Amino acid sequence: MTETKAVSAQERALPRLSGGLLRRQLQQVLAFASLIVVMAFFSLASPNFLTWSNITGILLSTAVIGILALGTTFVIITGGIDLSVGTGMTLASVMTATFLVTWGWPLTLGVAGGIAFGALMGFVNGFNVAVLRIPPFIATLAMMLIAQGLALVISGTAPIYFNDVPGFTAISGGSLVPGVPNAVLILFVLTALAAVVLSKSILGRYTFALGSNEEATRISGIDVAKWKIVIYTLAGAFTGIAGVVLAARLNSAQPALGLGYELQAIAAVVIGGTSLQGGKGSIVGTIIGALIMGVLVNGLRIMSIPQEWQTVVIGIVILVAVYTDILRRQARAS
Amino acid sequence: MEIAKALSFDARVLIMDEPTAALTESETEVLFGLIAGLKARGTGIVYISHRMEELGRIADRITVLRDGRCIATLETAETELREVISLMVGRRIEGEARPRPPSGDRRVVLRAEGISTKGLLRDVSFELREGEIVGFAGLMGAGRTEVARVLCGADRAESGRIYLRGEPVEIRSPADAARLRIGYLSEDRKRYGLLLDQDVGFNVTLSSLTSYVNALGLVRDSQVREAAQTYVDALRIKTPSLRQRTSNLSGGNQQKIVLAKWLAKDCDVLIFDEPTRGIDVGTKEEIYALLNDLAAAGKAIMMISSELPEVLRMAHRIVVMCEGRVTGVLDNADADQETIMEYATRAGDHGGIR
Repeated sequence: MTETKAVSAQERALPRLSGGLLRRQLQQVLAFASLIVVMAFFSLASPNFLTWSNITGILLSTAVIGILALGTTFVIITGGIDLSVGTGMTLASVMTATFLVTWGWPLTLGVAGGIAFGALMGFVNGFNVAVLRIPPFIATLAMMLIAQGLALVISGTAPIYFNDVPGFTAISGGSLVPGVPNAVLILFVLTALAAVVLSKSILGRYTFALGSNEEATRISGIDVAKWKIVIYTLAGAFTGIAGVVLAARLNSAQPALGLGYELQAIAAVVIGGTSLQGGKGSIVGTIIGALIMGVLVNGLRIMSIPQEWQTVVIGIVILVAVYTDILRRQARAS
Repeated sequence: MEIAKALSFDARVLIMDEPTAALTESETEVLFGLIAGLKARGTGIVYISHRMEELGRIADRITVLRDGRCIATLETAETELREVISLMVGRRIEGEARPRPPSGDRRVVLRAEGISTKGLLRDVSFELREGEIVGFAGLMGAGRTEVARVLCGADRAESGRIYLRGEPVEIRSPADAARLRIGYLSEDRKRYGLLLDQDVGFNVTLSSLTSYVNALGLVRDSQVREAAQTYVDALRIKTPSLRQRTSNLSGGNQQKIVLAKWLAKDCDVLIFDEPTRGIDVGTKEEIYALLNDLAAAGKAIMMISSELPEVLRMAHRIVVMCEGRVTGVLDNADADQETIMEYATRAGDHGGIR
């Protein structure tokens, strides 16, 4: 009874809703506008904000969270969640250190090994979620704890330094493009790559399909388990890359660092307009979300606002971002 | 529940919008009793329904609306239901047409042998032939949908074999079924058929997406659009654009989208589970025409339907099920509503007439 009514109501609204690109991308537009507003505010508040060195500083501090958030975006669009990217990143950097420092592998092999290890963790997450049917929250929570513990065990709870690995710190600190740290370059390249994969590739289409209606996707003849594993593995690979980039920036693998990064990555994804219910989201939104957080932290610091207040502000930003999204949906539904 | 709530208002005028859509037959009888009681107490009732039989039974006058306009108001007692239907459609509907028997030798495309499941099905066997529509009749819970779900890989059978053109096949998942070109249109299109929050073009090309992908795994958008547009045009899906969200379309157009999805996949075996449920009369006719066209094009079609007139009108052969077993397989020429109902109620008689 209600079903019939709902359909007829939607039919009536149909001409009005056939709207275009702007409405479809509104959340990204809003996020981008907020980024501009926040940046304008800080540049007025402090002359030190809008300088080249400060901007690259923001980008540099955003790089690691941004890379994690890229992979997380895919997982969240499927309607899943990945809580293991923070400590997974730590374990990946510890493994990179093990390969390069302890075992003395050549640089490229060690770096590739670190990234592959991240992908392996993602694969295990995907297997647990898709084949063993463990809910993503639980499966990746378990992986988060396992990775946290293993990072401490393998490193012997002490940082591992890369002093004897020539060229390693250049992965983040060098500048292939003059004036732009490589970590920022990596973030940009990965963003472009992820955007193409999500919006153009068959993997991206299935990512949205899974999040929209997993059972309908399965009945449509798509190997849902396989693609879920691929998507979690992809998120794991991004985790591995973030691990390498972070280790190169710190010139060390820090086994105690990383917990909480997953929540910041999720926050960036959510601020960027990706729905935790799945089926909706974008890479551009995620990067804007990550930048908003980076700018806020940096700007508040420049204005000498204590660090404790910075996280309060970010929490409020998340609430505002998600609430505007809800308002927008209601406006569309009515 | 909703109905009880409405009744508790003690209203002078009561509007009921498809009240029986979610009710079983016995519950419907109770509702009709209630309506008769309300009528006797002087309550005015606006009863919206697309179920003709219901209107014939309980309405005093019937108002026909089409495309937002009031077409006519008729006294039920003086009106043939066929007249109402033709007013709704805006064109005359052919009478009790029966399908023409398909000509020539029809090769067996799919053969099921002794399918049993843990839950319901017991030793289900039948054949689907090229160019043939096989109707599956039976009461609710007879196991027709369960058969369909086994064929399309959504559920696993406990025992039994499926042959495709004589070759035994294993269907472990819907992905296997799709590879074998078996498509399934669920009775619950919102749950099992559509990505409601995605657009029309995406839904139409979901199953066939791999055929529009280049070597790098990138989707050729122009081909996707072209293919989607082809099917939107061919099936006359009413949508302002390919980018329209599927949830904004009417039930009939949504059903056509699910159908288009499997046509785009170029399936040889199409399983329709209640293809005209919750669809307006005009679109129903279009779906019937499509089914006939598909059969004429050589597809093997399994059509589950609880509406006997629909089965009699469309199906070349009719498989009747009761409580998980096949109780009868009839040629259309030998079938009428009474015969089908007889087989459909043969609980306990497990002879399995063939």
